[in-house]
Amino acid sequence: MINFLTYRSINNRKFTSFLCIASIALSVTLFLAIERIRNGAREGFTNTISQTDLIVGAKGGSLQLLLYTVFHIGGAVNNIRMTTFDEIKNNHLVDWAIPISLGDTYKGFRVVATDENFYEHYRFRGDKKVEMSEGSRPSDTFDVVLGSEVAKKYQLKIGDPILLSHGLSSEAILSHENTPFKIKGIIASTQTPIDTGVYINLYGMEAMHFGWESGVPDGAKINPERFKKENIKITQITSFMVKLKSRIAVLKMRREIDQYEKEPIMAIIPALSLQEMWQTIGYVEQILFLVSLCVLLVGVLSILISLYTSINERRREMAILRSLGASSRHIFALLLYESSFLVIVGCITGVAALYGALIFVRPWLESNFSVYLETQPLSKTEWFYLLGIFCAGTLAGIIPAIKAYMNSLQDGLTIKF
Amino acid sequence: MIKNSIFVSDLKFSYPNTQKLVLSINRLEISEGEKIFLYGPSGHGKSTLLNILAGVLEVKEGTIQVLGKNLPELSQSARDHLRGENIGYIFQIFNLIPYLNIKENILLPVMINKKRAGNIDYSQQADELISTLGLSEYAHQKVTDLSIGQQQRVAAARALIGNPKIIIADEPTSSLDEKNTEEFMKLLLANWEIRKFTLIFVSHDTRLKKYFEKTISLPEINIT
Repeated sequence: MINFLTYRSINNRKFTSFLCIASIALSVTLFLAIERIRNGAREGFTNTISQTDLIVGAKGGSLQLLLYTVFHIGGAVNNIRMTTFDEIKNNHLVDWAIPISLGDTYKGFRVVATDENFYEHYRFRGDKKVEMSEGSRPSDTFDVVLGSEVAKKYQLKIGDPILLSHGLSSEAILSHENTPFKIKGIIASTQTPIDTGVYINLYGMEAMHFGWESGVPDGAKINPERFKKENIKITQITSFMVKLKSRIAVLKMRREIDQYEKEPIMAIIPALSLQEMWQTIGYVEQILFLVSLCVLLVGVLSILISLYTSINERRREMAILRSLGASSRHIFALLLYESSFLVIVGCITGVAALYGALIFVRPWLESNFSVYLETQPLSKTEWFYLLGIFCAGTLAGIIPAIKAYMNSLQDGLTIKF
Repeated sequence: MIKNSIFVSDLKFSYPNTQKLVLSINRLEISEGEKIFLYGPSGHGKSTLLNILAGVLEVKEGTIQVLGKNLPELSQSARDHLRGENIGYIFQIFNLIPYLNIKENILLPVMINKKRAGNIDYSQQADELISTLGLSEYAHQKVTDLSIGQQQRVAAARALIGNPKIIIADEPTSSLDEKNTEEFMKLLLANWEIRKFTLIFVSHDTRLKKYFEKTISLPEINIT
């Protein structure tokens, strides 16, 4: 009976009910969407690199080390010796190590010199590895592999020759003219900084700097024999990533590296550093969260307003129901039912709109902001939020319900005109 | 022996937190199946008495038996049930829920009180009432489009559905013109002839006395 009356009564006030449902739906969509984007941004950020236990580089700022190694931002103060890398790599606690050598660019995109281990062991977003969308990994000295964005931006194909520039400035004017590289492969899109990298191997890095010992090319012609891998000696790299055989050893290893006597080097734990960094830049997400909470509050208030303003004009209706045997509690229940009905319909509409929006917005968010959103079903937390919204909306309905209850006690069957 | 439908004795009532005695009735008896004209000009506790008989207002002092049950001894919800199951109530005006159609309005009492429906096919009874009250051609109209005369007839049908033992009509004709009043009275009394419920017709309009065998005057029995 109450169901029926609720439905007809809401139907009778179609427009206000519609507005009420729309405002709840909108706030639910906004709230959940902001939650998802928030989580997506954090996940995307903190999972830029995974499984790596330590990042090792020259002593300096730990944030700086993280930024140039993982995000291709800024540069190192010093390089480290290849012998240091070899020694740590061969430590019995170490599972694998990926060397990174930086210092050059391709039209503003960072050139990253590394080795086979990068393609073998580097992981991001949990367990995703670097895959080639076209071609294969670099093997020869002058092979180069492009991040997906680099390839897209300059419309580059396998086999194209490219010239790399010396230095990190995007306006680098000195180019490695004598040592053109050939595109060997293109890395599939990862939605991480890898997409904006240009990858060569350590031999290539060393080889293109032959004759640059003074900082500028000395112009001397270089014997092609020297470019053969077996003739190239790699002396230094910028930093390297380490995975240990056991997580338990991380702190011990870090301490050992920090106290390494042959060279001033340091180690950071990327997961921790990323977390710390997110906390400093993540205040924006907290503001977003607060704003979405406020929007939700407004949505809930709209139920209160819409029902409360209808109470007086429905005084007669309540007296009629009373005369037909309805108790004051019935009247109370009727209004509570109305509010919970409005919230439920609002929530359902809001969730439907969220998924609709996700399908349309997701590709754009991913490619433009590296915000990684999966169209997953509602999480436990989200169900919990919805439950909270439902309770809040129903609670908002209690105020007009109490008012109607009091009215019906006061009026009885006598209706005032 | 004829049973009493309503029996009131030594009733004293004042509203909570006030001193003023609004109602004081030594004795009021209405037999089962009787039709009574209750003369009640405003200001003599008419609304109060009706709210008490319907079980909406709680009484502390006196005996008010409705269909053999003493209201002061019943809980609020028991009184709500008694009203819903046994009493049909017609208001002066605006009897209908605006967002329900005619038939839904008529069926409301049996929807709220399953017991009032009993074993009868109330949907069929609603159709019968719609036709005996001459409302067939409006059955699918919105109730807000009906004239006041038609609305009051729908209200009468709603009071009659489920065959309640008592019908209280609170000035049902006061907003009707003479022709509509006469029509309404005829329909109501024709139904009373068939169903023999206890009819308590409350009005300040003494011209309507002629339809009834017995008149009770509220100013006389209320001795405040």
